[in-house]
Amino acid sequence: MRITQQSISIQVKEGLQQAFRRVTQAQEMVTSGRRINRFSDDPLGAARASGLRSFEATVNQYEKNINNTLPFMEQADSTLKDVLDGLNRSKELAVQLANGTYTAVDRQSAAKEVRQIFLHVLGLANTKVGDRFLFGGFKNGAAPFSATATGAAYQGDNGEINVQTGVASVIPINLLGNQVFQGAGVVGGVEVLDVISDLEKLLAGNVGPHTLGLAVNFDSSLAAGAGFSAPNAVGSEATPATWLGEANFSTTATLFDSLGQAHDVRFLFAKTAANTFKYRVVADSNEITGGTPGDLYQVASEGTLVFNAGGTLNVGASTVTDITMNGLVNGAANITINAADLNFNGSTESTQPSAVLSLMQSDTGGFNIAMGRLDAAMDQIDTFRAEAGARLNSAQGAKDAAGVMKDRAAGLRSQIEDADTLAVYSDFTRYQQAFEAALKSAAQVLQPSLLDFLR
Amino acid sequence: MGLLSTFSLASQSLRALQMAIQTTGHNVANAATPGFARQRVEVQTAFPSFEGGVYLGQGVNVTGVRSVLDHFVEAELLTLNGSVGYAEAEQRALAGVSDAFPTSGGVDASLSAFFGALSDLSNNPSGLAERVSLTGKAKALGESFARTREVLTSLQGNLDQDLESFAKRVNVLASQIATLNHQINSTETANQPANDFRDQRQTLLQEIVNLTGASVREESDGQATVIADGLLLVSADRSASLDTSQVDPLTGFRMITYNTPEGLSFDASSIFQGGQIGATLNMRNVEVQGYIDRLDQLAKTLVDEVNQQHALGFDLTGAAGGSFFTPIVSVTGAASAIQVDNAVAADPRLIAAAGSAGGVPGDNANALALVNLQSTAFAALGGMTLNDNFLALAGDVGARGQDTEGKFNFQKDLLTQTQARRESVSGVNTDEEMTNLLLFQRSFEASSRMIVATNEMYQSLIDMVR
Repeated sequence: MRITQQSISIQVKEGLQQAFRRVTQAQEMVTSGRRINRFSDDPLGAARASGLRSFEATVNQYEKNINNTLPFMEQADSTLKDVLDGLNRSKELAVQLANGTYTAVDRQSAAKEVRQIFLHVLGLANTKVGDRFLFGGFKNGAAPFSATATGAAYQGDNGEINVQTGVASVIPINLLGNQVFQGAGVVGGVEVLDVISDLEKLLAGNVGPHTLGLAVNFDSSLAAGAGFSAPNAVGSEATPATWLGEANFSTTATLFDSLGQAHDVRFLFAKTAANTFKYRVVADSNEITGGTPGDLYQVASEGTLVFNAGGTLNVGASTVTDITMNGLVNGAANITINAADLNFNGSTESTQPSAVLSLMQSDTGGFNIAMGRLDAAMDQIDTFRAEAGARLNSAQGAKDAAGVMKDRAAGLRSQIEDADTLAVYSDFTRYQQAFEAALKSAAQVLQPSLLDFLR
Repeated sequence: MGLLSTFSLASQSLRALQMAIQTTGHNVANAATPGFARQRVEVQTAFPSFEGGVYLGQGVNVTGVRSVLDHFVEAELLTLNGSVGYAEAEQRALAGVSDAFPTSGGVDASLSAFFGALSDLSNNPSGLAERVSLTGKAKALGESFARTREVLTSLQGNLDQDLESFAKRVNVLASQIATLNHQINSTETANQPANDFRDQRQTLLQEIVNLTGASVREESDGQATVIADGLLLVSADRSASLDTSQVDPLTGFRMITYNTPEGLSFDASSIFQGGQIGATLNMRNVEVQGYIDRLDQLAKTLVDEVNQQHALGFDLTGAAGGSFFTPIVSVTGAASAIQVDNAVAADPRLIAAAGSAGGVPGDNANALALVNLQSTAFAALGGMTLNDNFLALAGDVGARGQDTEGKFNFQKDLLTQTQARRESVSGVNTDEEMTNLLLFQRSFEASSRMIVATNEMYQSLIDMVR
């Protein structure tokens, strides 16, 4: 093959160009530390590396999410521990003061302490982390609990705050106040704040006589009827329309059983003659095992009330019987009200039927009930504390998993797109040497010419 | 036979050698001229005369000056130039497209940041800072989309611009080729070699083939006919021209109007397939447009899906969510139209993070549902998630870039090799020319010596007579 200066020049240019391109490419890898600097370097690898980078960002976000919620969950745990401490102290006081040696003054001062415990627990129930209430559900604009005459009312909702910890996994981070503190949806649940409040009242002596006072409206314009029609057998059920329709008036009272659980009882009155009434005692069917909600259940007793003109009960003419309620829900104890404790005195023509209720137990019995309810409250708080702990664990587990995933993705991405520094650097040196060699040889090939020797 | 004939033999020899030296000079002078083929003076022994019972040599005759050419290689070079042109334009355009898809910090990174901000919002749905940060990230996402699309559309604009300069260059080349056709024809009709005209024309032909991918045919009269995809560009001494002054009202791109030498004209935009023009047309109309369409589809899906989910939620004021992004009606241009809805941008409380009106402000259900869009596959994106769809697009661009670069390098290498082959036949080797020059110089001296000798012989004769 004939070789000309031009062909040497083309060849040298081409070769130098190629050698220099290789040097530049290797140099780019050395300086950027990356094997892939643009998508066309390795389309598949670049797409995978970018995918992994997004994945890392997502997992990072999960980690961030969890980190954000950890204080919230930890706070729930320590708050519930404080609530338990309050309940424990309440129970101590109850145990101590149930002892008959303590005077009413001692109890009054203990009541004050229990009041403080109540306020403390109320404060704990309204704990705020950041700008969010621990136990308010979604309603974090206002405190979820407010004090009432009987304890506390819940203003939050049932909102479960979820936090994303994985592509398809979320964990709820909040405990709902109405469950934790009011026992909503909890088997045998108690209203913790009400329990404390009741204890305070018990200690303060805010306990009336153990009688049920009732007043009846005589209303002379009311026509006398035959009283209640069948079914009137004790223990049988009837539709509320019948019962309410036949009654001339009614009143509702709340009674506590020996475990301290409240039950609604309704007294129905039907006029049979002037100053003469038939009465019946029924329980709200919600309270009866197997009862249909909304229906009334004839529970206990009926009798005849004959009043004197002044409104006092003509005891001799009346048949006032004991009230016994059986079959109450949730294994509650039976309630018995002695006939002697039913007080129908004071009925007049102007007064509507009303009931004045008191605890049905003796003083010692009241403390026993209070202690039982405090135990139930502590169990309830403990259960939720355990749940908070379990959630904290799972959040921490998710965080660790996210950390591992992130590291693994980063490692994989580095494998794909990062340059092997040693290899790249040795390549770079090699290419550079090749380039220098090409330059030297080109200089030698291009230089000599016949003209050099024609002198 | 006589001394006179010896004289004429010597002078003829001097003339031939002078021509050879002149040609050597021409070769050396054009050693670096592109397209130049070395020339040789063709000589042959003169017809001998029969004198005194013997055939006596009559010296040398110059029969012509010939270019040393391999016609097969020349034809191959022409064809190769078309493929190289196509590959070059394609590779150049794709290198531009690649700029729109950096390996980090592109749309994928903005998507991650946007969904990250949504996740932050889900952690604290009532936080104003999180809301402001989200609108900021959404704005950045829109800008990222718009920037990517801008790179692609401006590339399309550049390709459009390229077509204008290509067309102008084709016009210049075609008319020059036509002129050279005429000169070659008239020179060769006069029985003279048109070596240098042919060399020039070959260079121009290579360039026009590079631009149009045209095929070249040499007619029997030596004139070249150039036809690109059925369009006659040069025939004998007449040339057609291309005009790019008209704009297609539908696409907004230049049309290529073909004007025949006779003055007829029609739109030939869809006719060119080869060379740089064919590749540029294809890139502008099909490939880059395809990437833009895919990006638009992605943008439209993002806006639609986010808005749809956003409208299911409730904002901080307890009202049902409106649009998060300004709704986009048409897919075309969607990537440059992503904007946070004016109302939301002005009042970030309108971001609907809550899943129910009653749950405000702590409810984060809708924020979580929005975050979930990140990992949702959409039918409109071929069953891919937003991020995967973008990466598929970037990956395709990368693969095409790699592919076209490989093709271009291959074609270029092929061209370089073929050029080397041409060079080995037609190139000037100055050492060779110098050697020839020495040979011619010595011969010239010898022939001169002949004249001196003959002259002396004449002198002796004349002296004899005196």
